[in-house]
Amino acid sequence: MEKILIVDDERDITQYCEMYLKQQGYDVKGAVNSEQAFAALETFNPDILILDINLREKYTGFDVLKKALQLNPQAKAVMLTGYGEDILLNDSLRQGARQAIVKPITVEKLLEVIKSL
Amino acid sequence: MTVYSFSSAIAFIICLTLSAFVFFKRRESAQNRFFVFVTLLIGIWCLFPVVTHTITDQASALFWGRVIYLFALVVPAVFLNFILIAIGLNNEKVQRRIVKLAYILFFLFSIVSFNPLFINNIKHMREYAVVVPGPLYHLFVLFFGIMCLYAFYNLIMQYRLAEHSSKNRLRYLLVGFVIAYIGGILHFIPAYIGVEPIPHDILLVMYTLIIFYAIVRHNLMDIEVVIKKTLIFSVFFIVTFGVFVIVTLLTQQITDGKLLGLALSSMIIIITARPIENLLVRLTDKYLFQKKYDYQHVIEIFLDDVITEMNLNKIISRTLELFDKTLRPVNPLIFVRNGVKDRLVAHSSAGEVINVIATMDSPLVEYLKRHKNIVSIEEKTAGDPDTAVVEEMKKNNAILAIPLMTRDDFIGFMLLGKKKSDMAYSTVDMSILNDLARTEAIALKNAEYIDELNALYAEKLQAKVKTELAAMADGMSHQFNNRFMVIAMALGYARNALTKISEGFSDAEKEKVNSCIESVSRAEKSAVTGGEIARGLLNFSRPDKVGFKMVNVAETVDQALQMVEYKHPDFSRLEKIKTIQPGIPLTWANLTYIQEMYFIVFDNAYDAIQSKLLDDPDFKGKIDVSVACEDDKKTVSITVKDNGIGMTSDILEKVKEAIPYVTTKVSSGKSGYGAGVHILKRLVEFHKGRIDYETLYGEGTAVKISMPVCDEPQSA
Repeated sequence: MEKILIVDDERDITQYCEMYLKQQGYDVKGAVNSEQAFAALETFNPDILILDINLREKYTGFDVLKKALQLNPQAKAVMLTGYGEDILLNDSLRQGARQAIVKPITVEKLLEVIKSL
Repeated sequence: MTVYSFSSAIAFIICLTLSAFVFFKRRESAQNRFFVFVTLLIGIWCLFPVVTHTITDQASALFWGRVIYLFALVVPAVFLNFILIAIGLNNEKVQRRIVKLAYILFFLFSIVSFNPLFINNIKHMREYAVVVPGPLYHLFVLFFGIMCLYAFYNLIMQYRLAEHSSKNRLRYLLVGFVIAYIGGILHFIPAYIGVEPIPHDILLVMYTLIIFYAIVRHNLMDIEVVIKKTLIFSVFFIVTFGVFVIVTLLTQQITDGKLLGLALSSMIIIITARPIENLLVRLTDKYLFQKKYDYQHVIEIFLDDVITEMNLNKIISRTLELFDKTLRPVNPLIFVRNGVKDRLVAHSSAGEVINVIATMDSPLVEYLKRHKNIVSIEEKTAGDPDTAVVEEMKKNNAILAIPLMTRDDFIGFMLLGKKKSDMAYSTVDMSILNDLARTEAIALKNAEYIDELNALYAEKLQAKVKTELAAMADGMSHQFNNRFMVIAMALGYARNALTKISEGFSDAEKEKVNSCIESVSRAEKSAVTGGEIARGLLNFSRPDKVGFKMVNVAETVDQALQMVEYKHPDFSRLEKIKTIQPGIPLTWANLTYIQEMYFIVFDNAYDAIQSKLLDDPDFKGKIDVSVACEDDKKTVSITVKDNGIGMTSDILEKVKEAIPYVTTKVSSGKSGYGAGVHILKRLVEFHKGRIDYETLYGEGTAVKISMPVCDEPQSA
């Protein structure tokens, strides 16, 4: 069973994603800040990461991505942003993410992206 | 001394001083030289009664009388010559011949002037002396009459053709010389009737006073700056001389003591000289130069005030108000750069910008920049303006053009029409206008500088506001999209949960649940669409954030149409035809600017259609958008045609120029091409493109934006 870590400062997003993806048969863990995310990287060791870029704190989704790839270079990441700026999306791909998506998206779209990784 | 001799002496002195001052002030002018000559000759002729009456010896009186007549003989020829120069006919062939004939006749008369055939004798009467004419004297009188009448004929003919201030000057010249002419005729009468009815030389005093007045008020001879001293000196001399003669004669008659009379008159002169001089200075200032002092006062206040004014439009409107209060010219115009580099915009009364533009390379502007001085099309000056300059001034009903310059920086110029009073611009006016122009130029330059600073500050402020807006937009975008994401996720989860739950339900129950699932699904899609709309709108709030990128200009058409629809909900009701040529290449452009360009064009098209709807409520508005490749795919062109109100040729010109702040509202007062068109032009120029307009008032407008296709520049 693939393990997915969802990191978003919006608790509802992590919660609904977690619930939905569990329904789809994934082992899912949610984190609402970088501290929880870094801890989860150590303890949970996810295969897939769904990371919001802007966590509205000291660290960004890029920092979590960097750490995740250090710990597990095989980890696959999807970056999410509410800004919709090309530059952020391009940066995501440059920093090792497999996909970058602009919010909002449907759960099916999210699942489709995860499956395509 | 008799009253006849006294009036003659006064006339001589006045003529002498007038001619001397004209000569020393501006002798380089042929007109002035001949005026000096003729006035001097008239003055010497005036000495005849003084000399012939004073010299009691018959032979000496006859000799000096003939000497004086030698000067009188040349008066007709010189007078004719002067008049022809003054009215500009001196170069005509016929006139030159007549003048030459007059000088030949003078020469012939001068040969016989010491012969008894001309003046036979001098006959002494009690108070004056008269000529005993010889046969040739009658011929001279005839010659004098014909030449002077011919000169007057030409003067009158020219006077009838002249206009404005030129007419005024000729009028005074005419009146002055008619009086002098009558004085001359009266001089001949005693030779025929044996008595002198009146001391006629007093008329010569009148002649000089009239010419004085014309010089002061109508810029005749252009020497009024020295008139004050001339007039004071002349009147002072006449008064003191008169006092001396009258007091001496009266004292001699009463007391029979010559020395007592002389002593008394000398004492009176010594005591009264200074007060008389002061009185004359005051009177001259009060009655002749009051205008100058009035001006100076008003101008001084204005200059103090205007130099501290920092608003360009206020400076201009106040200057125009000043003109209305003082010189009162017809149609004063002030042309200034007004933020546009290669042209000058005219301001009329009350500082209103009017539809008159001068280019920096126009003949008048070039001439003013070169000569840096006032140009008058009425005054003949060195380096007279050529026909093109004069035509340009006449086109604006101007007779004066005053440059506004600081050192070599040409700020603009002022055009003044003739004065409403129909009086000429005097040298005092010119001098004041020069001072005014110098200060005005400095004030305008300061105002321009302040405007530039303000613009720079506004730009910086705008940039700051944009940055803040962009930050705000970012935050809003994040919040909106997160909310929509939550909704979409929640609904998606709920939909899936319902689907799973309904697996064991009956068909009837499943149908009900499916209906719920369908509703949830629609809400989910709406949440996603809501996020996209919010993103599109917020992109407009952070224009510079996106910057340049490879853009498909065809795709942005839809976004801009959508934005106009948000602004004007009824925009969706208009018929829109979109023709996009396949294979439009991507071009390196600023996406937001491109969207803004489309937005302005569509917004204007909407306004134009609304204007037409006001006249015809059943009118069906239509916008036709086409995007095509031209010039072997090197250019992308976007053409937007509307069937709105269109533009008049006047408005079209302003739109092409994209002059900011020019009101170009058409009939409805709603449709306008002010700041939007200016921004559009700048945005298109920013992309090295061009805009072309085709319009017909009442039929519609087509705006074509052509932009070169550019690749992404290779940066380091």
